Amino acid sequence: MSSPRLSVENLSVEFSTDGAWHPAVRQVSYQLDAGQVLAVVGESGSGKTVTALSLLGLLPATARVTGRALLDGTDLLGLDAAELRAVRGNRVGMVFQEPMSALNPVFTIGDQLVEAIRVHRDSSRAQARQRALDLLRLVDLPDPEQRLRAYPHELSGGQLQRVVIAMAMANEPAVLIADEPTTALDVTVQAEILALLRDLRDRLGVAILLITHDMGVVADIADHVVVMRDGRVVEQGPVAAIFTEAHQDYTKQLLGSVVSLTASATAQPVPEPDPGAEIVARDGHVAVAAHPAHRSIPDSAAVNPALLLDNLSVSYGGRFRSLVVRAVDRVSLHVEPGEVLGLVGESGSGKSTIAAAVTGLVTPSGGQVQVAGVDITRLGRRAARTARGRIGVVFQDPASALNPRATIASSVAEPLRLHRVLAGAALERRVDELLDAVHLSTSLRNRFPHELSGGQRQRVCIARAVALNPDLLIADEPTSALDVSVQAKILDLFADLQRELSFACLFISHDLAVIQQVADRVAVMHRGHLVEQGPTRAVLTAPLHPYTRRLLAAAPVADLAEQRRRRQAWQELNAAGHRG
Amino acid sequence: MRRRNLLRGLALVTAAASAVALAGCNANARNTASTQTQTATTGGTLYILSDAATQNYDPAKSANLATTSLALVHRRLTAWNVAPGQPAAVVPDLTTDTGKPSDDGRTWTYTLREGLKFSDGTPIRSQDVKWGVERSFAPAFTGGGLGYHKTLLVGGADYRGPFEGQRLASIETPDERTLVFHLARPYGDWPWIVSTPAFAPVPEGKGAEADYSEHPVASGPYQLAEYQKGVRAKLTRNPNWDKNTDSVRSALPDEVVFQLGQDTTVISQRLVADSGDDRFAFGASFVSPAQLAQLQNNASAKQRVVTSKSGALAYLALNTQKGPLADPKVRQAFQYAVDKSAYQIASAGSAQLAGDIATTLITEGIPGREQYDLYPTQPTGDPDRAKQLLAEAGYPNGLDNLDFVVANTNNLPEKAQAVQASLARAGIKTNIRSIDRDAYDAEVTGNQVNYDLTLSSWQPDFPSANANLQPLFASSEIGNGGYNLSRYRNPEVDQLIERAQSTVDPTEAGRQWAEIDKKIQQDSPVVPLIYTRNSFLHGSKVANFFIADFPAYPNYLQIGVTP
Amino acid sequence: MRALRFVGIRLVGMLVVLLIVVFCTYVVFYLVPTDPAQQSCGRPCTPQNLAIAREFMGFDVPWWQQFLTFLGGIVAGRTFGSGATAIHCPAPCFGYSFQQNATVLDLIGERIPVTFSLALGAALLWLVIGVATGVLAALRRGRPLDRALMVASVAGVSAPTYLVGLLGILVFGFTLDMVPVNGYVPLTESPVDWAWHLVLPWLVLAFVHAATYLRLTRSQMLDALGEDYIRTARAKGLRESTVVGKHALRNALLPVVTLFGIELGSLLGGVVITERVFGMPGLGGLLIDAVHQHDLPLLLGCTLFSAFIVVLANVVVDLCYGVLDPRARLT
Repeated sequence: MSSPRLSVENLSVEFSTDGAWHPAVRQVSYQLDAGQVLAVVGESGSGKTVTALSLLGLLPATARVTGRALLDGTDLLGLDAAELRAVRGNRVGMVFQEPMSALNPVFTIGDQLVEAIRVHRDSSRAQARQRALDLLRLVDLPDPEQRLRAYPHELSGGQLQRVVIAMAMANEPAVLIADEPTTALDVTVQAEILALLRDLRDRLGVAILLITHDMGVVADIADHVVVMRDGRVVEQGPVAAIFTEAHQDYTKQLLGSVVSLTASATAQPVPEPDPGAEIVARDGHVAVAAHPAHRSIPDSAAVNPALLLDNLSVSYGGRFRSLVVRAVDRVSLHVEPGEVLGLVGESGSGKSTIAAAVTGLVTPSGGQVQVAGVDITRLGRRAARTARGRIGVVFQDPASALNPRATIASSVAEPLRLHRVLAGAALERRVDELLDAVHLSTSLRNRFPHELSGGQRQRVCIARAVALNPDLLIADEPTSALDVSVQAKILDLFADLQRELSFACLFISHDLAVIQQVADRVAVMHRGHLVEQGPTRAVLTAPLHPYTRRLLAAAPVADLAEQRRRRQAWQELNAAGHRG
Repeated sequence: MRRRNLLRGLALVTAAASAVALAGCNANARNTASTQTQTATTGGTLYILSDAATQNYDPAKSANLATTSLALVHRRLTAWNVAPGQPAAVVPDLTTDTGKPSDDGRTWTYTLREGLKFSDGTPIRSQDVKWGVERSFAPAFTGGGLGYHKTLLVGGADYRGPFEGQRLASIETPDERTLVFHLARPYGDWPWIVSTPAFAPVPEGKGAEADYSEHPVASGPYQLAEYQKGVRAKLTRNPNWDKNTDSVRSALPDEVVFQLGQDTTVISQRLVADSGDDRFAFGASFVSPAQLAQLQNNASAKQRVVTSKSGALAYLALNTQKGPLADPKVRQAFQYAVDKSAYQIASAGSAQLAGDIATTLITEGIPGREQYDLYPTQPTGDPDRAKQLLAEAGYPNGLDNLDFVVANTNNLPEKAQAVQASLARAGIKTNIRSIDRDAYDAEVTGNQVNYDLTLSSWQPDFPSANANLQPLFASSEIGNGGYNLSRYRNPEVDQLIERAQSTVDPTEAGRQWAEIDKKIQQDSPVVPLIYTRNSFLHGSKVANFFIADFPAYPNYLQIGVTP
Repeated sequence: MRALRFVGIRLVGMLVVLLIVVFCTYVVFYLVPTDPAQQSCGRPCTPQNLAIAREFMGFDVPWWQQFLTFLGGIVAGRTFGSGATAIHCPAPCFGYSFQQNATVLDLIGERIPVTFSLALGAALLWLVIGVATGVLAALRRGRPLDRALMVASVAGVSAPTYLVGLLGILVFGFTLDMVPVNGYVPLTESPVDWAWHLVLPWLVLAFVHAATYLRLTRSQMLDALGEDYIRTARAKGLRESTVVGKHALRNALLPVVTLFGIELGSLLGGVVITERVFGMPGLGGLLIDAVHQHDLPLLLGCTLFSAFIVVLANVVVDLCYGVLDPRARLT
């Protein structure tokens, strides 16, 4: 192979705060060849994104960049503003993490694509529009002509990411920088986007610099891997070498701490449903036959449930006769004491709406929510509050779930004070116990949330959630916002606490691997319906419902061989889907 | 009691009390004076800057003084002759004399001068004056005018104006120049009554429209040439006015322009700046004490401030129908307890600015007024004497919890505090209750009252002691919107008031009013505080600008400009 | 169809709000212990006089009956009194001011040009100044220019209009003698004089209001510049001027437009203080006079008109918002 497309040499970045310089990236070097995917892996704060942004001069004015970044022999860091602009979006395209916010909400997709084309090409509006259409076709966006006239909010996250990729590809760049391009997307969409990137690499020979924290994604698409930590490259090499014989402890730790889905998808044949039957069942494992589902499965028999949902429906909208959206449609399920029920589904499936209905944040439009046998939707305000005191809640984002002006101790003590359980010294003792239970040093009592790391904050949230010894804990994506290594520890902590306190738990997650680790039973949501439910092992190894199968196949695992098999399965499923 | 236009209403000048004025360091020298450095000449345009948005030139709806804007356009049967240093006098205007009384003052006969013409050229006849008076009875034109004649004319109480076909029989017009008024009772002040706006002529049969005020038929030296609400009113010469028939109007400027709806602070600022047309202008509203304090640093502007020598009577009313205050001896104690000099300070910062200390009920500049002091003491009062009187009345420990109500406008709460402090020295403890002006008006003129004390002020509608005393102390003026705030009821005084009103001879009437003044004060229903002063500011080219002893406003009829 | 229905719903909503405003004004007016007929009673105010005035003005019936009569007058017009002195107020009759001898509609109509000239001119000025300085401050964040502008804006936000107006008159009117300080010349009479008389009030209003827009634009601009789509725009290779002027500004202006519409709406109902200071016969002065004179019909009319303008401004803002922000559009 000739000289690399992109060669980063001894790149360092420092940020100035209050006159002092703080290094963010130190002496990073890597190379990227045409037609290759180089994955830069690391946890948050490792400097992987800063490195990429520095290549195009997109860092704020407080940053100082040194070193060299040669694109086909030209040092990007030595370019002036105008020359840099000529590279941006032209020789180097960029794709960002959040497709929802990456596009300007007040301009149409077409305007923004045309703008990206015309800034580098001397073409007429009509020509640029034609090119924009071609680009949308290139990224497999259906109805491209209609999409051109659409505004960003009218598209889904996956569609938007395709638009952003189209925009990045507008001027046939030599290098595509993709910064966590799939992190904000559902797994099935992620699989599609990764397939698209792979396709672009193969068809157009573009070099892709992929920044990710997800070893599963790496296993799926990368040719080479660069592992970064604290602004340094700790290890790099071909993807096979990294996965099979990582030299560095950190890389091993990174790989080891990935909560991985071990169950292999589509291993077992699915029993043919009886013609006309709406439900398929196998032992304690039930699913809806139809896909997409038009109903939810019935609940399995409950003994003495801590939580029981009976035909729960939640609707949004409906004012001025506008469209009523049924976010949750006649869902029935239960959680027995000491049991963890994993609720799985993608964004918009209604899983968080169920959590909101149980915690009283939304009012159901039908059905019952029974906590310890009492229907809390029918209770008075005061009684409902008391009943909800028996429910603990942990949210996704620990940073926004804590009052930034309250100390850790007072955040943990809040439910105890609110429900007037304890006061004075007894309260203080209980807070210490709780902090101890979540493995936080009691010396953090008087700290404020911003002084803690994300993982520590989530521990505080968990301590607060279990403060009242709840019968039921609602955990809504409690680990999604955390780094992989932290995620693993929080899950361990959760499992310990659950064993110790033996509360019933409704554990909501989009991540099948997480569910596999914590849940006794799994329920799968799809578009407001509960489509499948059964013992964790059964659901994850022998899914009955087609959607569950897609979900399983789409989830990448940090294992090269396994991921290859999964990709195969995914492609087969997709092909089958297209045929059907 | 709220008046739309300060110039229109003088009677109850509670609002005016704080807007009163000073005279500066050389106040005494200029108190009575005008600033006649130059003499006014005929011609030019006089500008009058007013904070009011509208001007009313409908005589039926007007409560204007006989010496301000309405009198530039409309003449009445009689007029006021006012000058610094002498009491106001009634003089003939449209008529040859001030009226011939007969039937003990029940019948008054007037003869119009010869050759009088309206601005449209038609002669002014007695029938036109009668029509004007009758018109003031119409429900459509009751709007805010002076209506002293309405209860006095025979049949007036039930009369509803000429537009429904009925005429008022008690006004006779035997010929085009003679008017005979038949009154329900003898009334010596009738010559003053016919100086009120309703006695301006309106061409017989005209004036049915609501906006007559915007195109009135003029009898005075000026006619309303242009009127824009909220913007300006422009008066130009009435070609049919004959100077030889008019002794009270010098009508010097060719045009008079009112600029309406101006901010008072801006008016002061403009007049101080004294540039352009503002040199020919004066402000129609009072210069406030705060503005006066600023003017002290501006020699030119200071020269152009004119302050009245006297003005409305500010007084502390004692509710004579309530608790210990029903005892005259207790009320007399208040005469000694109040520190009038403290009141002066509270109202304008100094005695000079506030106005002289008052001891009588009749205000200065009113014919027949006698200066006296029934309760002589020093300006700061005599708390010991007050305590002694209270002890004699059976209150050796003073009085407690007196309700002292005031409106929350015009600095009145601060003034009330000054009074409160001085009363406290004599062991009289009061609770000040300052309330919204509207609520205040409703309470003090209503039929059910709770207050013990209140602060108010009063200036008569016409220059007769009658207009000083009757509205404040006749028992008929208690409640029902009347201004007898001390709820003073003395049958003897009522009788004396009626007798004085019936007395036709002005000198004799004046003597009687002076006696009534003292008689009332013996009962001590109010504590006279000060005669408040008004200050006005004018441009450098304005001349003949003076304020007489009464009223405490410039005489618009004499003001002119210099080139 | 949906858009039509939306407009229809908004119109009905407007009517309901206006009805509530009329109702509340009536109730409030009848809660204060003042008799509007007292103003037209004259002196001395005998009970007979008071009764006559009350009857003529229509204040002799219970308030709810007056309220209904008022509503009826809007549809059918009203006549006060009878015979030769009758006053007719043609439909739509929003009341008759007995103190100013004109229908409320005429009075408001006379003053609309003044207030609108004042408010629209000033609003345009402050919008341009406020947004321009706001963008400038955001781009120079933390630098001396930004700090200077922020200090100036504190002065603008906290300075009372009255004071600024008086200072303006003193400095530009009297001391420098540059501009007229008083009065209003109709546009139809002389466009030059019209503008010339309005310059100072415009500047005063603009100074006081622009500060808010500076601050709002600055903070919105800073927010917008931190958005992901700005990074996307830069990564496309766009010029910084396009990034700021097109991508950031368009988004930053959304709340500015809302504020602008509502502020302009409330100003169009009467620029009370500025009108007073500069002796301009506008709606604000009319309202003040109505309050001072207890002119209930006029007060009601002014309140209703202001409410109408404010509600209208809200509808216009909503519609504009739909144009500016596709997310708020009806689809």
